[in-house]
Amino acid sequence: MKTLTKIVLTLLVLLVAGNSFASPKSLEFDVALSDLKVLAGAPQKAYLNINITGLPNGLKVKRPQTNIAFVLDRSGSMSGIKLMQAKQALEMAISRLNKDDVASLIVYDDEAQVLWPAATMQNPAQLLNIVRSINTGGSTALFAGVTQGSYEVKKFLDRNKVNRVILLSDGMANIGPSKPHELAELGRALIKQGIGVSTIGLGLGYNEDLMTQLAGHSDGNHYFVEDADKLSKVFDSELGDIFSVVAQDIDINIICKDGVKPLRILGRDENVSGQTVNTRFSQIYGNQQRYLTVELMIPEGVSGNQLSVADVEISYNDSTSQQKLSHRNDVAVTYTDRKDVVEKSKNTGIYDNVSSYEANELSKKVVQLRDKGLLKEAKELQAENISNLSRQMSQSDAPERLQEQLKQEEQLLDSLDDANWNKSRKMARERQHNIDMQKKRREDYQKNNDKN
Amino acid sequence: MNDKSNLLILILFTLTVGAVGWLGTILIGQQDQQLRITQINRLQQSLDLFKNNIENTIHNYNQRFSPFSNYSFEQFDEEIQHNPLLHGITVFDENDTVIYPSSASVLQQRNAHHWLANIAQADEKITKENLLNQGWFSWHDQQKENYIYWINSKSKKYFLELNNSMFMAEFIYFLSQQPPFDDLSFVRILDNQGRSFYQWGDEKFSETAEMQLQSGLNSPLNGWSVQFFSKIPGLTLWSKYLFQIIITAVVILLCLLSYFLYRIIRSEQQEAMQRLSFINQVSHELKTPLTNIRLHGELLERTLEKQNIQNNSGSSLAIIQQESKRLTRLINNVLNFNSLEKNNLQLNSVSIDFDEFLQQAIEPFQPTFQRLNIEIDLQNQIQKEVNIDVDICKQIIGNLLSNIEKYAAESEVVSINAKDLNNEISIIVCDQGQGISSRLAEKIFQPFYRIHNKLTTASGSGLGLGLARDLARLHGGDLQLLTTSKKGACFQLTIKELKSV
Repeated sequence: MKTLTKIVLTLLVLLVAGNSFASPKSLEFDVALSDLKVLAGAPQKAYLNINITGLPNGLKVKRPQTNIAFVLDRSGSMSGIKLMQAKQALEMAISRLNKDDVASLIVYDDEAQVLWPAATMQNPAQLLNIVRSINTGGSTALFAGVTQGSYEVKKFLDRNKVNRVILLSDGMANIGPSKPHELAELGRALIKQGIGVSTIGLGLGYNEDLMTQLAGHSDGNHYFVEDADKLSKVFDSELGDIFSVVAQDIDINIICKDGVKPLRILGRDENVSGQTVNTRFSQIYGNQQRYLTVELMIPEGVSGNQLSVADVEISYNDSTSQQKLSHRNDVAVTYTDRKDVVEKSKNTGIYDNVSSYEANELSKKVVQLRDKGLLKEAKELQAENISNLSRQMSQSDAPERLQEQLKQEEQLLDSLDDANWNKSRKMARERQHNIDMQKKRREDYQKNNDKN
Repeated sequence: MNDKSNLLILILFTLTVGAVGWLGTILIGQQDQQLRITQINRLQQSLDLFKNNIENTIHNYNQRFSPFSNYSFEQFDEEIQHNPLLHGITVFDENDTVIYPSSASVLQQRNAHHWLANIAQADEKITKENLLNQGWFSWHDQQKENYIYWINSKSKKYFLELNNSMFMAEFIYFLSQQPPFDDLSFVRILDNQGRSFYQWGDEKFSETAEMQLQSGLNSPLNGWSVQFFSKIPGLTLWSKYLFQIIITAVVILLCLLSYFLYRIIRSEQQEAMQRLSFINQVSHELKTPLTNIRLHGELLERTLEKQNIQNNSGSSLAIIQQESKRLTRLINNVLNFNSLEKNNLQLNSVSIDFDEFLQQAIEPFQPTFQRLNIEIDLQNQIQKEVNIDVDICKQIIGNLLSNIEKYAAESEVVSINAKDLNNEISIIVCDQGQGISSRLAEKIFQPFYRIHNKLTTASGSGLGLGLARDLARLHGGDLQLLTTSKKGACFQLTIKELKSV
């Protein structure tokens, strides 16, 4: 079995090589260790980092086809201006689809209802009429809504399409499973099927933990929209992301060499066991960089020796060419006795990623402490977090995104005893989600949102 | 018809309508009960069917998971990576050692041994009954539901750890594909913590529903239940009320109708009484001049007799006398009728030879009868003195003869037959007129009743017979219509003798 896979992989590599001349590449890989040189004589920690950059070359030719389920909360709390704005945003989004795209519309209150079963957009006018006729109802069966949405997407499930559920809700789920971890698990199940869920939390009444968990585990986006009039922008931004998908199902396989022990994957909940680390990104958007950082334990070695650390195999679906492509890399370290050489060899970019991750984890803990009412402890921890982060940044040429993160951690500290904590928490959770997604480029809407 | 009988009819009528309404309500109640039972049975059936469907769905997992016992470890890797329903797989060999996953942590191993212990109990039961070598177990842990499917095959034990949410999502999708229930039902699935997991219909019904059914689900959904709430279709509370309102409205309408009818009859009677009262007053006014006319008529007659003047004025005088006597009778009728009504007519007993009395009673009619060529055949078997109220008795006989004059003028012979029947005097008066239908035997005695109420027929007040009967009864007797043949009418008058003064 394994030999067969290898043969197939080799064939695929050949195919890629043959093809790379024909069509422009959609992904660029940068696989590196945080330390090129490590101290000899004792086991050392190091980080293996994979940067994947989406190149929008193919998008000029053709954007990927989409398969989107719009799931709209129409519980009682949505009535009035919120529903009106949501409908307008939906209309705008639908009008951006073309006739090869698949769309479905699900609304939920006490129960979920498929208003428009998944179908290619041959008759958008009819769907628009249905959108306009949506009324508000009762409770919030969020789980059932997302489930129905995913089943509609499944009808046209195609690995070459961008398969996505877009959920818009303003309230607490109160019918069916409604705990954050339950939605996280649903997200995990959906990502296995190649379906992402993007969640839009409207107003200040929704459960941001639930919404970020669902989006986070299904590799979707999460947006906090305080005012309904921003909904159109958010839908626009979400569609912009979906339309700019350059690659999907990015399977990353890290095979550690004997003696090297993978410890954990930063920001991902996959268990690490054995020598192999398996993980996946659902998609890479054009003009976006995502990264994956794995903490490793390098065994002790003798100075001057070189150690092959790991082989990295990445396979993915290229959205433009609709072909399965792959990429291989291996990484190695050299043992040395000199500390200054070790320091010099450090890849600051990777350590920045680690700092960002660690700060984000602490930031989540701060929110948890604040949730428990431990305001003093929360403040102390966040102050520590900020001083850690700024110390890390002083050692390197801190990139803009890290400076931005520091600024926002400081904002979080300020808002901890703010009367407007509900809103600040939603903003913090959104930001934490975005860092968890390990994306390096922010959506344009966010810049606008932050300015406001 | 008098006031009392009107009221009686009114009460009877209301009671009947009320009874009909009451019976109707009972009938509706029974119908309602019947529908209720049918509905409950129907709901029970759909609940059973529904539960059956759920069990079938759960049962389908057996087929889905059975092949796993034949999979290689590579296939397990593949499944865990791509099957959204699976979280993890753990496999034990015959020595209860974990052989998959190869690198299970100590914690994972410990958890897995708990599962093993868990199915050991179930296993014992199962091997005894030798039924199954696969099944479910679930437990609740740190607010999280865990569903494990286990297979015991070829001395290996497989534990499939499900993605709880995907399992729930599949369940929800299954539920959403179920045919809808009727509009009057609210159905919900409660999970083992009593939360609403999925629901159909209007939640308001859960508070107002008239019936409720609840039923638990089987493993692995232990502690879950299906709840049915339903309104009873057909006879809803509203339509029952409507029915009652209609019945009440009909009863009220009928009561009102009868009340109006009663009012109309009463006002007619009052009108008649007023008429009578008027006539009574007029009669009083007429009486004095009439007495004067008669007095002076008699005076004149005597004067003419004395002077022996025989000419035409004599017969004219006789006519004046006759007509004024008739008028007197009429006025007496009216006055007596009124006195009777007011119960203040006193009997005045006088001893008189009965033969002479009869002659006196008939005498005023002789001239008219002669003119009409009617012969009076008088047969009197009472040749003695009797104690009677002469005036009243004369009036009774006078009224009878007056009726013959008016309504049976074509008669050739009028027979008057007087007999003594133990303590009673019977006088039978027969004419040879058109007769009176037996249908009208009683009606003719009602005041103001006239058989032919046409202007062309002879004049009359409609009081005569009724008054005659009342006077006869006052006199301890009666007046009845005897024969009703085409050959004429026969009236029998009975009177009792009065005590001598």
